[in-house]
Amino acid sequence: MPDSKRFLHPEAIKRISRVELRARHIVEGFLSGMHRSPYFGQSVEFLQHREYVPGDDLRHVDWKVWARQDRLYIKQFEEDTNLRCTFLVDVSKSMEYGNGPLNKYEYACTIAGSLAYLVLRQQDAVACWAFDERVRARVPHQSKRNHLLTIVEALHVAAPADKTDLSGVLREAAETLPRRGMVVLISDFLSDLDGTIRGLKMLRQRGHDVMVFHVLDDDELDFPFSGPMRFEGLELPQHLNCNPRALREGYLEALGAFLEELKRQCARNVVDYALLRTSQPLDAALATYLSNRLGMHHRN
Amino acid sequence: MQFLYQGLAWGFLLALVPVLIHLINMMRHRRVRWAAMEFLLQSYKKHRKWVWLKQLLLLLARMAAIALLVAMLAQWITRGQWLDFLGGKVTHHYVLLDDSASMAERYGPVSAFEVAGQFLQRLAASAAEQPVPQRLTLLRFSQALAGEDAGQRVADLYAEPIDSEFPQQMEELRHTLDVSSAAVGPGPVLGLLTRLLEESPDEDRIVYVVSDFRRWQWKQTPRVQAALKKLEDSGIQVQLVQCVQRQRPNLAVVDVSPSSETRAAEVPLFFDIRVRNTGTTAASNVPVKVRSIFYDAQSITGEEPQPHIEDMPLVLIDRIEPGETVTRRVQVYFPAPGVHAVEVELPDDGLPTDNRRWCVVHFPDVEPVLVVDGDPDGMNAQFLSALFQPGTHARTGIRADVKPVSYLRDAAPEELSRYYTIFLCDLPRLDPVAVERLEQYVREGGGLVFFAGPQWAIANHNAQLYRNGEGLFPLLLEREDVLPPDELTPAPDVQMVVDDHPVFRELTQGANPLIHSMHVERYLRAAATWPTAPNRDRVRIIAKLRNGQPLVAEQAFGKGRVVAFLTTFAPYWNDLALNATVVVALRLEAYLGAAKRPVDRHVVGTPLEVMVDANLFDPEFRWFLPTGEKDHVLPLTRLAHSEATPGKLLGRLEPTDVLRPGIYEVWLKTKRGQREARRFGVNVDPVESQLAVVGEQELEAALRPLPVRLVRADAFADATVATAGFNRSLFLMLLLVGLLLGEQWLAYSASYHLPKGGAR
Repeated sequence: MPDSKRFLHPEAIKRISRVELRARHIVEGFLSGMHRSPYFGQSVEFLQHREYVPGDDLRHVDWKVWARQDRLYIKQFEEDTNLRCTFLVDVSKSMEYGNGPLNKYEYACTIAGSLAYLVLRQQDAVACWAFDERVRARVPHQSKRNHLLTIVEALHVAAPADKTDLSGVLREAAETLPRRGMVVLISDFLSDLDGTIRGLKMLRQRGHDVMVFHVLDDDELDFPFSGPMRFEGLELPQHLNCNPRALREGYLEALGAFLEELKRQCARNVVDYALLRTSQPLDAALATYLSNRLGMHHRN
Repeated sequence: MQFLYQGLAWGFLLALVPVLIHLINMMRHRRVRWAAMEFLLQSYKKHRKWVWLKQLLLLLARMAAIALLVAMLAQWITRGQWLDFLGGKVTHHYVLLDDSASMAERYGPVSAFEVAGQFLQRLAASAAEQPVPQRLTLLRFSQALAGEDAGQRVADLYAEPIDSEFPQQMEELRHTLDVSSAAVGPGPVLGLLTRLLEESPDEDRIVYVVSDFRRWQWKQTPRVQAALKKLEDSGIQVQLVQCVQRQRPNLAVVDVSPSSETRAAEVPLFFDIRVRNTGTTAASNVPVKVRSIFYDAQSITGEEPQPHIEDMPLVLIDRIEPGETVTRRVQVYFPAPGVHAVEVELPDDGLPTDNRRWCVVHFPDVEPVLVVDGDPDGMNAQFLSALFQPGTHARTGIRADVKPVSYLRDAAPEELSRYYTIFLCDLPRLDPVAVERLEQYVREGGGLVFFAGPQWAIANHNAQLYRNGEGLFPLLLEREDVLPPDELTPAPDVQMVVDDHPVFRELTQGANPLIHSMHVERYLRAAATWPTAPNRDRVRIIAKLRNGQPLVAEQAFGKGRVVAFLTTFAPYWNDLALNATVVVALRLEAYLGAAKRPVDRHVVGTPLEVMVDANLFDPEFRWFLPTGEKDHVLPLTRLAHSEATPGKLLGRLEPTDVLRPGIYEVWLKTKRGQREARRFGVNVDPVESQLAVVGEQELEAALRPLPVRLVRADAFADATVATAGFNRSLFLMLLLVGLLLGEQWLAYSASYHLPKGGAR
């Protein structure tokens, strides 16, 4: 891992209590290392040169042109000022699970904050919904820099509770969001898969670019438990006393089938899918976002 | 289940530990609030049965592993054969313990049988320490008396697993065992052993013959040699354990028997006592105690026999050389009829068992004899009756029943058979039926005396009684003849041909025998061809006349015997009845009636039987057995029915019940409620008194080519016990390892092993 990214590791992020600060820290840290990032060339597309005017960021000056022509030009990239990005963040009870530095909810909030900061930094409008079985908090689109604070407060207010109803929330989003934009869904997807797929289809049918961040804890992906255990459902009322090692294979099999199906349906509906472990460095989410943003230009 | 270390068997409770751990784990599980519950439930529903089965198998495997470990440590031993074919061979010790009478010989403070018991104890202790599972079968020689087919039921111990508590068990058993008084060698018990060995072929077997190894038992023993060879050929190790080191001085009463005299109440009877010195040194001044044991009617009215025992004057034997047998005669008198006994006892010596001997004799009121006289005056009968019943002051014990000749024809055979002897005097013609009855009587053991006379129908009797040598009468007669006086060379008229005939013994003894005083004038001459008669081999001329003609002849006929006098009893043709020679009639009764007198000869280890008419007796037999130490009796009730002879009741004591010498008594109950008693004098076989011990070289010679492994009982080494064999513990350990591997596989299969990267 590059030195600049060591601060993007969840352990490091955990030490930053406020999400907006985390977002800033993550994005700045991420961007400062971009020149070494293998995602760089793929995430930002050069559009044209324009003559420098005072106030432009000196980092965008094309020094090679200046050297040849002795005139200051800056590189102009594809503008997305008209991008309306909506973050749908799952704050249901199941998101409360986490065994690492960040639980799924915290990880999801951090991703949402970081991406919102990145989007706002590009002068784009950001909205954010926090939901479980209904939309618990709704922040409208704005592109102001301080809008991030509003988003973060909305996520804070929505502490994890209740079941997830992705189908209903996605249907509501499809019906509510007025313009084509980008929808970033951050969830553990522990809900009705068919309903979720139907919701994603509806969003796509409305012309939205949909990006899915599937957040799962290491425990959920690896099921490393041993010894007699009693599993009590966070959203389901059932409980199960068992030897987890005996059920591990079947569990992973069922989970794998679920992930495969979700992945397959996302690909089928041109939905960008990224599975994130809560133990993963958060820049992966940003890299995925930027990579997919680049891909969206090509798609659109 | 039996274990060498029985206390460790409690360790089997540890097999419950996995169950406890399982239950505790169920109670102390970690709680996790889990989001992806749906996948977990899917997995649970899909694998529930298989997981449950594997967990159950795993639990059982762990319990079995603990049980196996405990069984291995506790040294599991079992009677079952099922483990043997898996490789677990048991060492089986077969101990053949000589408990014959000679094992009671004492040297020092202990007897040979006690030495054998000590050997047994050492063997048990040694075997209990062996790592290989051990078993022990104990057979006593006397138990083989039950027959070679008796099998394991007669064994004191059969295939008894040897564990840590076995020596204590053996100690207790040892005190219940006692030496028998039976004369039984190793042959029968080896036969019994051969049958038992066939029942457990897959074992390492060691046979111990623990005996006193008397010369008479082991020197000429083709049967024993064959049995031991069979064992050796089967690969069975045979160990001979000698319990006696040297021969001890010993005297034995080898016989007590009544003389061949008339037996009747109030008639003194002589008993011959024979004492043998079976030791190697002479014995002197040997006091012999004699007791008369008299049973009157009161003796059987109580709960147990109550005889009147009376000590008779001591008989002192001056000296008995080694190997010599000395006979002494004592006279015993019983005042009332019944079954009485005489007991003889010698002082205590090396072998106490043979120092006592009993003789049970039936004394009737009288011995009836039948007198049939053809003399019109009945003189023969008169003289005989007068002799047998001389008056109130003298008693011969004989009652003469005088009957006419027709009685022989009319009397039932059973009636005739009551008579000890039949005297037929001066017989005229006989009815063929009478001849037939007489032949039947003699053939069944009766005694018959013929006296000739003027009425003797020679031709008829030659045809009917002599019957070409096949009849009752021993000689073919020719005619009546006169013995002329010989005044030139005086010689006795009667000359004995047989010197020591029981009938004439008293008449022929001394320098001037009484027989010489007898004069004969007339007689019936035997045919000239008698020396070549067809029955010549069976006929014995006892006495002849001066002219060489037979006077008294004897022949055996069936079980009985016939004595024929070719002259009269009454003083018609001689003076036999007129002087002391008349006693010859008494001697004839005593001699010919012997077959009618029951012979009481029972030895230890033979069955005792009483058969009675079921119409007369209740089916209840109450036996009284002598114990070893005192003159005491034990009641034993047996109910018996005779299947072989319907209508009869059979009371029987099996050979294994008759292992003590002494007087055995059985009480019978008649249908009228009266009690009757039968008695048996059971004695040690005199052969058991032969205490000479066979030497190792003699034994080798007797058993050649078999190897002889003869060891002293006190020098027995534990090494014999530690024979090679498969260690069952080793097998259990292998089984345990296999089970643990299986358990690990099951645990892995049931996902109890940690995955790579660890687990929480």
